[in-house]
Amino acid sequence: MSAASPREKLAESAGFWAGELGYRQATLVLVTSALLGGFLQATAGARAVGVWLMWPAGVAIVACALGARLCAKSRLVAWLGGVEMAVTSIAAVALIALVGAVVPQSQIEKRLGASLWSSWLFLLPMSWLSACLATVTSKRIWPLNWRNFCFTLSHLGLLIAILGGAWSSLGLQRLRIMAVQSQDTSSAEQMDGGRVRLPFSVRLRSFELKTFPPTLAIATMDKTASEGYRLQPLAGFVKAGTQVTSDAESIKVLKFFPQAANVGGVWHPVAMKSAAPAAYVEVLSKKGELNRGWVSCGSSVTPGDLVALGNTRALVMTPPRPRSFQSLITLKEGGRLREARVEVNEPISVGAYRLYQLSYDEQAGADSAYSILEIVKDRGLPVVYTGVFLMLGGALLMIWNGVVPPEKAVAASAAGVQERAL
Amino acid sequence: MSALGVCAALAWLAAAVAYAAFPRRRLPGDILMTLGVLCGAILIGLLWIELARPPLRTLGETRWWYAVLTPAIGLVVGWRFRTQALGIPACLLGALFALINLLHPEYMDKTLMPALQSPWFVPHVVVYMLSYSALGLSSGIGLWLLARSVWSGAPLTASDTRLPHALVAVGFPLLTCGLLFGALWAKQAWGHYWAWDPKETWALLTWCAYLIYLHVRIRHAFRPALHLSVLGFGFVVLLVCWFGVNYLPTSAESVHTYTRQ
Repeated sequence: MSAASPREKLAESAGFWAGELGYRQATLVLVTSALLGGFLQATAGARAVGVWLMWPAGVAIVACALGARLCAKSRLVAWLGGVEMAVTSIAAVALIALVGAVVPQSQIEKRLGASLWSSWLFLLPMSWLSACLATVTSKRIWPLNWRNFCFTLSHLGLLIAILGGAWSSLGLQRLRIMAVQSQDTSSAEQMDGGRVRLPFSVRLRSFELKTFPPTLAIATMDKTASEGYRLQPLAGFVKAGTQVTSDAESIKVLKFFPQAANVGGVWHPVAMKSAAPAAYVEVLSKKGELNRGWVSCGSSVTPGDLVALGNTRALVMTPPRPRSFQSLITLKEGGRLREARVEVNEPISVGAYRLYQLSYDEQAGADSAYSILEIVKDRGLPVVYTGVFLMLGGALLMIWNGVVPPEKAVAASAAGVQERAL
Repeated sequence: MSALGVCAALAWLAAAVAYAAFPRRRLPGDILMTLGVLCGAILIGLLWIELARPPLRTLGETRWWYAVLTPAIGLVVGWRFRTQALGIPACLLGALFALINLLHPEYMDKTLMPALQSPWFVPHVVVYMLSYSALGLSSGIGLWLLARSVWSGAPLTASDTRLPHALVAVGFPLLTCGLLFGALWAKQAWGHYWAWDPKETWALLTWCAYLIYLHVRIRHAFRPALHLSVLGFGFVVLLVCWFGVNYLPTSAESVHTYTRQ
C-alpha cells in the first residue's frame, strides 16, 4: 500500500474540519496551543509574556464576541461557544494548573524560567477558555430574559474576572517596605528584588504585638523527628492555678509571670517588653514522684527553662502565639504628614496604593525594630470585583433555581433541551 | 462534649437502620437524624464557647461541621424532594466523620492567628462545609447508583440522576461563593485576591471538576453513567483539596492549609 500523497493528506485534514466540530477538534486545538506554549516558553524564556499576549488575545476575544452576534449560525461560532470546547478548554487549563498544584513553584520556575501562571504554556489555553466564554456569553446575552439571566451573570462574570485579572496583572505593583523608627523610608522592594521609589514615605512610630498566653507541652526525645523531639501540647493557657494532665503526670501551675527574668535560677516579675513568660509548676507523676520547678519559653534576650521528667522527657512552655500585631506609622506625602494604624485585615489607602501589615522581626517579638508592610497598586481591581460580584449574583440565582419546586425545574430543563435541539 | 458526639453518631447510625428497616416510612429515620443533628449542633456551639473562637481552624474542627451539615442537608433536600434516598448515605457519612473525630480526638487550643480574625472567616469556611456536604452526598449517591447499575446489569436512566444533580445544583454555587469569599478575604488580609497558593489552586481545580460535570450533563443528558463518573471524580479532587493537599510536596508553600492541631 502506497503512502498518502500531500494532496490526499490535505484533503483528509480538510475533512477533519469539514465535518461536525466536536471534542476531537477542540482537543487538537488545545493540545497544539499547550505544545506551542511550551515551545515559546522554551525559546522566548522569561520575557514579559503578558504584554505580548495581551493585545492579540484581546483582539481575538473581542472578535469572538462580535462573531457570535454577526454570524450566530456559523458552525465555527457554534463550536467555539459549545459545550465540547468549554469542557476541553476547562480540562486543559485544569490539567496545567494541576502541575502547579503538585510540583513546587521553585522547580517549575527552574524549568520554565518563569512562573507557570505567567508562562505561555498556561496563558495560551487560558486564552482559548476566554474566547469560548466570550462567544457563548455574546451569543446568549441578548435578548436578556429570566431564563438566561443566571447563565449570563455567571459566564459574563467569569469572563470579566479573567480578563480583568489578566489586564490588572500587567500594571500590578506588589511591593514590600521595611518601616523603621529612625528614618523615613520611600524605597520599596519588588517581588523580583528590584526597587521602586514611592510617592510617599513611611516612618514607624511604634510596633505593637499582643500575644495569647503561653501553653505547656511535654517534649519527648525522638531521633526520627526533624527537630530531634516530639511535642505533645497540653490543653489550656498557662495561668496561676491551671491544672493539666498528660499521659503520665498531673501538672499544677503554682505561679505565673507573663513577663519575668531569671535571677540565679529563680524567675522574678519584671516590666520589660523583651522579658519572657515563666511559670512555677508542680508535677506529680502517676508513680507518686513529686517534682517542682520553673518552665519558661525564653525570649530574644533570655534563655528558657524546663522541668526534666526522666532522661528523655521534659515539661516545656511553648512560645506565646501572636493574637494581633499592628504598626503605628507616619506617612509623608508631598510635605503633608499623616498618622495611621495598619493592622492585619485592616489595610489603609494612600492615594492609589493600599498598605497591608505583613510581618515583623519574629525573633524580637514585641521588641521588633521594624515592621514589614505590603504595598499594592492595582488599577484593575474594580474590573475584577465587577466580575466577582456578577459571579456571586449568578451563584445565588443558581441556588434559588436549585431549590425551586422540582416539577418546575424539570419543566424548565425540558424546555431548555427542546430549545437546544431546535 | 464527647458524650454529645457519641449521641450524635449513635442517633445517625440508628436513623440509617430505621431508613433501611422502614423503606416506606420516613418519620422514624427523620426523627433520629434530627436528634443527631441537634446533638452535633449543640456540640459545635459548646466548642465555640469553650474555645472562645469559631471552631473552624483545624481539620478535626471542620470534620465536626461536615458530620453535622451532611445529615442536615440530607434532611432538608430529602424533605424538599420528598425522598428518603438521602437518609442512609447522609447518616452514614455523618456517623463516619463523627467516629473519626471521637476515635482520634484532636488537641484544640484557643489561639487564632491574626489573619483568621476576620468577618470573612466564618462565612468562607461554613459555606465551603455546606458545599462539601452537598457535593459529598451527591457523589455518594452517584457512585451507589453506578455500582447498583453494574451489579444488576440494568442501565441507568436520566431520571436516576435527578437527585445527585439537585445536590450539585446547590453545592456548586456554594462552592463558587466559598471560592469568591476567599478571594475577597485574601485581598483584605494579604493584599491580593489570588496568589496561586497550592490550596487556592486545588480549590480552583475542584471548581473546574464540578464545572466540567455541569457542562457534560447538559451535553450528554442521556448518558447518566458518564456524568455520574465525572461527579465521582470531582469528589476525589475535592477530598485532595480538603485533606490531601497537606501531604503534597507543595504543602510547605501554602499558607491556607488547615492545621492538624
